Formats: sequence, structure tokens, C-alpha cells
Amino acid sequence: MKNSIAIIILFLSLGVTAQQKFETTNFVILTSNIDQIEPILMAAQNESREGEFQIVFYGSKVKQLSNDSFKENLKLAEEFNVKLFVCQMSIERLKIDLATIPEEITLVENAFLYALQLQKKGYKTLNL
Amino acid sequence: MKTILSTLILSFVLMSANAQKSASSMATKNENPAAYNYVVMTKKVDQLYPILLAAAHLAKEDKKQFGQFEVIICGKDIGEMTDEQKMEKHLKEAEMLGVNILACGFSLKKFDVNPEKIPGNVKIVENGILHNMELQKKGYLSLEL
Repeated sequence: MKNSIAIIILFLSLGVTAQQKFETTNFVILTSNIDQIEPILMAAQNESREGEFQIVFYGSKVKQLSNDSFKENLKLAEEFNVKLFVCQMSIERLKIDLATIPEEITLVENAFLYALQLQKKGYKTLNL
Repeated sequence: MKTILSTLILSFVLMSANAQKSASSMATKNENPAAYNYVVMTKKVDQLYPILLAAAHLAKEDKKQFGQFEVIICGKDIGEMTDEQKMEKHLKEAEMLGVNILACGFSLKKFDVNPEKIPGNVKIVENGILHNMELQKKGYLSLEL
């Protein structure tokens, strides 16, 4: 009897693993308000979270990414396994020196295109 | 003991059935890839430029799977759509790509913009938000800026 229970539990755990595989959710958040990173990172801070969590910044406030005050967010993002991106079109339009953007933030050519491409891959999107 | 055993067996059967269900729906999706349709809603007319660039890129990327691409303009700056000079370039580009540019009728009314001054090739939808949600229900990928 003990053996059969052990076998059933083994199968059960396999079933759960299979199910979890299909339920992995990836998120991408597109925002033009840099200050919103704090609540976004709080949302990402979920120990049971699996899958990707990406934040894409665009718009007239991306200059704030070079501020010293933003550095704390970079640490948190790394800690919570959140990837940060910034729209190159916004940077060029605002004539921001690329060297001032922290290297932890990856450039994407066009934030809108990037977000739609991730949706095609099944990412859940939030546009703020 | 029997109850525990039967509960365990039942939950196992249910779980594997669930897992199978998601697996088969994924397989169907892969076998019949539907065309990608997009809707982007924005309050800024100037954002038409990067939006249309994204549309051009997606058209190339999706090839035959590139379906509809709609851009809905709404909000307080909707009056900018009456600026012929500003709109002409965007509308030409949109036409070339097969992108539909739509104006929100609700916003036009609210911000006292004469619908007759909106360029002829821009369709007016009664409520931009509703239109966006209806398209999402149909499976359109969407961005709200």
C-alpha cells in the first residue's frame, strides 16, 4: 500500500510539473512614466513568479533613466529578475547622450514594435 | 486509506486531463497560425510616426500572416487630426501599408472638433475605447498609449 501511494504521489508531482510548464506567464510593461517603476517592481517581486518580466520605457521622460536616483531601481530590477529596456527612437528624438543611459538598460529600436513583437510570442502586456 | 487513495487518483486524472487540454490547444494553434491583427490606440497624433514604422516592420516580418492594423486616435489633442499638412504624410504612409487610421467620435464631440474637418480617408468610430475592446475580443494584439 505504501508503495502504491508513493507511486501515485510521484505521478501527481509529474502532472503538476507538466501543468506548470504550460502556465508560465511572461509579462511586458510599456510605460512613459519612469516613476512608475517602483510599483511595477513591487508587482514583479513575487517569489512564485516564473517566466520573463520586462519593462520598456519610452517617451519624453526617458532622460530620468540617467539620474543617480534611478540607480536603486537598477539594483532592485536585477534582484527581482526584471529586464529593463529603453526606446532608441525616444533617446534620439530627445538628443540624449547614449553614454548616460545605464548599461543595465538595453536599447530597443522602437518600443511599440518591441511590445507588439513580444505579444506575438504570447507575452501579457500592460501599457501605462 | 481508500478515500485518500481514490482522491489522489481522481486528482491525478483531472490534472493530466488539464495538462493534455492545454497541450492540444497549443498544438492546434501551431498547426493553424492565424493572421496577426493589431490595434494601437493613442492620444498623440505625433505617435503615428513610430506606430507606422512598427506597422511597416511587422508587415515585413509577418508576410502573408500580416492581417489588419488599426490605429485609433482619441483624447483631447484629437483636433490635431484636422491639420492637413501634419496628417497628409501619415495618411499616405498608412495607405501604402494598408493601415487604417480611425478617429474616436466621442472625443471629437467632447473636444468640439468638427468631424467634417477630419481628412476623408479617416474613418470615424463612435467610441474608440469600445472599438478597441471589440477588436481585442476578436484576438487583435493591442497597445494603448
